[in-house]
Amino acid sequence: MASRRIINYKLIVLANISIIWVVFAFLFLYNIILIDKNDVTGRSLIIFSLAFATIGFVVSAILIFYLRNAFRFFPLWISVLLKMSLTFFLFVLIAFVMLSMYYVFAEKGTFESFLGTFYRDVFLTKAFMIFMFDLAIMTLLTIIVLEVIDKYGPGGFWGMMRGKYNKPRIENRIFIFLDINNATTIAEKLGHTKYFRLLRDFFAEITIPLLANGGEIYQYVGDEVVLSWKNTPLNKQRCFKFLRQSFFLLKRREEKFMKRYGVCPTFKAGIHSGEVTAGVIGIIKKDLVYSGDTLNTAARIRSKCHELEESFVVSGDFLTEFSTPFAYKVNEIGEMEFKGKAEKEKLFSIIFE
Amino acid sequence: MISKKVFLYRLYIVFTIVVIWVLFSLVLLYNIVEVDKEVLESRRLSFFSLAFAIIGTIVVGAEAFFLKDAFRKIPIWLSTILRMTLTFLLFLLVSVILLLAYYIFSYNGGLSFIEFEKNFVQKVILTPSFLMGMIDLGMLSFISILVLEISDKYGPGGLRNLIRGRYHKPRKENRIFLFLDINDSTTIAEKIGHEKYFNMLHDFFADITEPILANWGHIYQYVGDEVVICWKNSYKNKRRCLKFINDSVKAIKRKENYYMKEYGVVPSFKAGVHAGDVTAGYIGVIKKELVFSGDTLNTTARIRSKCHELKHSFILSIDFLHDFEVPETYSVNEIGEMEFKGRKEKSRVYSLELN
Repeated sequence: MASRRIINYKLIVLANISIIWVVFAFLFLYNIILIDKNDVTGRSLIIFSLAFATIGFVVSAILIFYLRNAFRFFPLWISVLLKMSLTFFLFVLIAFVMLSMYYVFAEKGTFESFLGTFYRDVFLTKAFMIFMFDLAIMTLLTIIVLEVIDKYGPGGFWGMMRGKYNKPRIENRIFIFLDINNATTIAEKLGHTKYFRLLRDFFAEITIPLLANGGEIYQYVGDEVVLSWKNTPLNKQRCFKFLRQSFFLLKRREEKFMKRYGVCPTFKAGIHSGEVTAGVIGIIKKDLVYSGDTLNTAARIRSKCHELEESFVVSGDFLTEFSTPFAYKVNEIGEMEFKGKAEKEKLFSIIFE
Repeated sequence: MISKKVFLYRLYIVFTIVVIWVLFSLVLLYNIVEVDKEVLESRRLSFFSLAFAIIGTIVVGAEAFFLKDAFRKIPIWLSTILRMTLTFLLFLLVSVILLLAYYIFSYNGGLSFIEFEKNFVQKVILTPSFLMGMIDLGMLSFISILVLEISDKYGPGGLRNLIRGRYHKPRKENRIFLFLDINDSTTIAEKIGHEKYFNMLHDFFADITEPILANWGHIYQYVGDEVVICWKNSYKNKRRCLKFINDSVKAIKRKENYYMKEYGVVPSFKAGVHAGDVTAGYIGVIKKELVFSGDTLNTTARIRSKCHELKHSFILSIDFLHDFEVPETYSVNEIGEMEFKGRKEKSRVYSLELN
């Protein structure tokens, strides 16, 4: 079951891929028309493009919504082969239905003669074979594009294409360092492989509130995940909302986790905001990197959670110019030295009411 | 200027992409042959594949070695358009030369220019098959540009591991980890400004890329100003790990003048080295990443942070030195003890000096 936000995100991906299909459709169509002049020229270009767009839409929709995680535990090459054969059957079916519809509306003979003409004039023509072949290439491309988009994360691919971070730029951002409680104990109890699965499920669960609140996954550091927002009052509220929703979502999933792993993960988080330098680093392995003391401080705030026995600790910097929403209670719980600042900074805890 | 190992790595990528070109060329050729039967029937398939392979090598080579870095500072969509036009002109040139060569060898008409024009321009350049070939080539070079960009995101071996499905089920691995960090990063950043500091970081990571590749290291991730490099745990790789530190120190020393001129400081670095079991696997739904998880990593990070405390640049853990004879060019001294998570007794840590 996916939330609205995740569906929206997937729809955007779907639209983008459909556009690629249509662009390629024109290219391929040109080839087909050239090859099979007698067979195709009679039919209009628009219908063909439309057919391609429809098939592309259906195939990539199925890939995105249903098949994406279907073969998650197989190596990619096997899952690509499986997905390709599945979609191949699917689009043979769709092509058959669409073409027969075309014949139903345009043909006036009997059904047998239709089948005969169908095989002779459409199914066994070179144009149709090439069409199928092109579709297979497109499907392969779609699967690869989906995999690559996942690697970059939402907005990451376009950020790369747009060259947003080609020159390092200073940004004011919110960071959440989020960590499973008692990770070492759980890992010892479950064994490392099972613990890794738990971690994976945990991160999958919090993806939903994260997307709903417009957050970005910056990176995974060991068992920790670093989330980030642009620093605006609205995003501060979203940040709070994210914590609340994740907290209660995990509570709702308690049964599932208990059944599968025998423990239900809870998490702690340190929140801080400030300036960082953002840019792309690396020659053979490129990555978007945020650099600056803000991150080190956020990591240290997260490690304070354990010490102060609080689940969520937020810095004074984050709370400036921010009025806490009703459903949250913020209490001062201590002080901490920040790198590069003479005075100690205050720390606060968050409690959901 | 690009170093030998980076060059070899790029070359390897170029050839991988050329293989894609050749595969596509067979598919595309089929189309072309179908379209323009009368023109192409008499010519051989292998000739065309070869032509495609040559054009592919030249185009992708130009992309990987020259054009990619030439347009580094401008957005990729813009640089893609520029690179596409440049490569388009390039392969127009190459294919004209190739076809010309073919014509010269198999040509048996008159030698006047007009007759040649009639034969060459009319029969080759202006045919639909040539146009289609050009469109296909354009498509292929676009794909090449994207593949180059994407393979950089995954890092060496990253794509191969993904396709082979090496980590699709989480698996336990014994690995060496090296956390590497610039000394006094906060001070330097304040002195030269954050943007300039970031550029220095970029240069620094670029300079240690050669030692990483030369010693078969794998860049796991960048964490703030830190880079995490890992190897599979073996005797050979332990030696490589130490050699990497040695090579990096030398590489930075060689570029001392450049750093002084550009930034006014020469970066030096500290490193913590540890080895142990980690669980490796893919994590994430909307941002998928290969993740190593386990106490080994936390311990390595803590060892690295000990560098400052114990005033040593390079610190090795007892686990790393286990079953390992340190080569004579290095000297290793015990410098203290440290608590490791999940162990009752304290473990010893050692400093590494380069002789």
